[in-house]
Amino acid sequence: MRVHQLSGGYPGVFFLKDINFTVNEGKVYALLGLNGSGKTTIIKMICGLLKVKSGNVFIDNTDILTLKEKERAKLISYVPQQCNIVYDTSVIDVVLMGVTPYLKTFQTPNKDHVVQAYYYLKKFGLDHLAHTNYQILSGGLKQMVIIIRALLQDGRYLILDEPDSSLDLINKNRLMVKIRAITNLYNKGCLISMHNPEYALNYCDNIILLRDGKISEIDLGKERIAFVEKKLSEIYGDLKIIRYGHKYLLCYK
Amino acid sequence: MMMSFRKNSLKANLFIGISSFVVIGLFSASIFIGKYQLTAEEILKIISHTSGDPMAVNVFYKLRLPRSIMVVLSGIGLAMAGSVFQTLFKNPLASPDIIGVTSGASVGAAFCIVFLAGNVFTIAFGAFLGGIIAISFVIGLVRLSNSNDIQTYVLSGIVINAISNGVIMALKYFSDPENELGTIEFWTMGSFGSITAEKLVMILPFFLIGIIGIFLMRWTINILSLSDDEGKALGINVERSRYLILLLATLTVASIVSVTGLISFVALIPPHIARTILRRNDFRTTVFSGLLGAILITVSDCLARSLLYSELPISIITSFIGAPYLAFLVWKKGLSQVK
Repeated sequence: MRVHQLSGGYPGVFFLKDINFTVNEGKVYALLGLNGSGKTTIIKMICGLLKVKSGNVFIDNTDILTLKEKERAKLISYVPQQCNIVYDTSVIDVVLMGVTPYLKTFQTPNKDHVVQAYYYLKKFGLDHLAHTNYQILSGGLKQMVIIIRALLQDGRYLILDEPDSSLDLINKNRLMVKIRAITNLYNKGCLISMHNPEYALNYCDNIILLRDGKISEIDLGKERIAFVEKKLSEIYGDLKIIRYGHKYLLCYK
Repeated sequence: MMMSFRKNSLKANLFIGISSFVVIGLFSASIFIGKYQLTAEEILKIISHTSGDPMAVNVFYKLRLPRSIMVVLSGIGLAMAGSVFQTLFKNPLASPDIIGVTSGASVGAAFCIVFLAGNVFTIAFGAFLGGIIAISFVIGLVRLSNSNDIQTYVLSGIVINAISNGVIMALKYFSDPENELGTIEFWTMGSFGSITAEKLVMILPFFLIGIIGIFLMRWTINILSLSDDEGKALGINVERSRYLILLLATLTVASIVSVTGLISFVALIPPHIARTILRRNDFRTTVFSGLLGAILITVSDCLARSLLYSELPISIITSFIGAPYLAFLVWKKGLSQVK
């Protein structure tokens, strides 16, 4: 997926200009930036939820912003910060919503879709919750259910908007492990907006840094630690990356 | 796993089945209630074309049967439309009033009563047109504001309600207090007293278009219970689908109130009870809401016909049932907050 010269936002309030970056399949990309830097705006523009002023988002040379909602939904699965379900709805019904792009106008999910939904729930050890009311689940489980819904949607790219924002420390890590596993297992291209650069270092392949409306990309597989430190310091102030076993820790001055 | 999925749907199907039997029972009982006494034996004779009493045949086919059918259809239509409104607005207290459908219908009816002599067919047509114009105005206002969120619909509804109230007050002021004023007031209280076979046949196509449309759009309605962003990301054209579904629900409501007058609480309470019992919010819940609506309104109509010597307007009864239930909800919510 190639984001090309993307410009847009909320005129008079907030505007991003000429954003360019690429997301490859099978890799996890962290979109990092301070509050109000425009992470959610970029995600909403890519997903077609916010009208862009100019620019394109190409997948296989097709500008997905020119596609109808249904066609775009088959290529991109979007996971919001939280799913706002007002009424009692079972977990299986929430997951089944993922097949919507594949349904005809008056069609409802069929038996095969239900089997598929159970398959994914089982894969993530949540099949026992299939008939539990989604509203009473913990924040972590709710987020997992929405990710499973996104898997059923079967977009080639998975775009998550701060999925860890309402989670505690343990659940944040668990969620990132799952996202990493999903990316490897299903060869999805994964773009996650997040606040904590430590998660980006430990679970992602690339970092897309957003600062003052400008993008800089870091390939964590190629770049040296010192370079990453320097880049992150530009946003978060002086910091040090410390290696702890297979993990990275961040120390802020 | 599939067994478990079926088991979950079984509970909803069971409640739908039971309530269907209750509706059929109440429908059958309601045919016997009225000033003109009809016995079971007489009705059997009428149905088998062996009755020798032309008055009884007329009463049965032209008044009693159409009325009972209309009562059941009204309950089903209003409650199903109410359930759709509550899902679309993500608010359990939403009803056709919230976006001005019912007040638009009132204006249409009042206009016809005052300016077009007010025979039953022109009132029905006026109310229907008023409801449709109201929803068109709301949709127009939403488009004009370039904001498709729910709050814009609610605000537009408030505007429509305010304009409608002003127009109705003006119409009442200029109406003949001896005749037209009473007719307007009576219309806003709702009644099945004037339902005839002709009226039923007249509204039936519009009612069916609305209900069948809601049935066909059931999955989209389900998806519209999510946020607009999620709906779009799942491949739904949220704005267009919402317009269409609101139009279908309005068509259903307008087709009913055009001949019955305003009926309070039937679009509001049954969907709430249905969701509380089934603990889900899908099309089965909408159907169950419709059946509960039919039960509520049939019981209310039977009471309206039999409590006093003269027939009571239906909204008096539905309000006396609905308002305490709302009070109960407020009390329950208060308790849960204290806990």
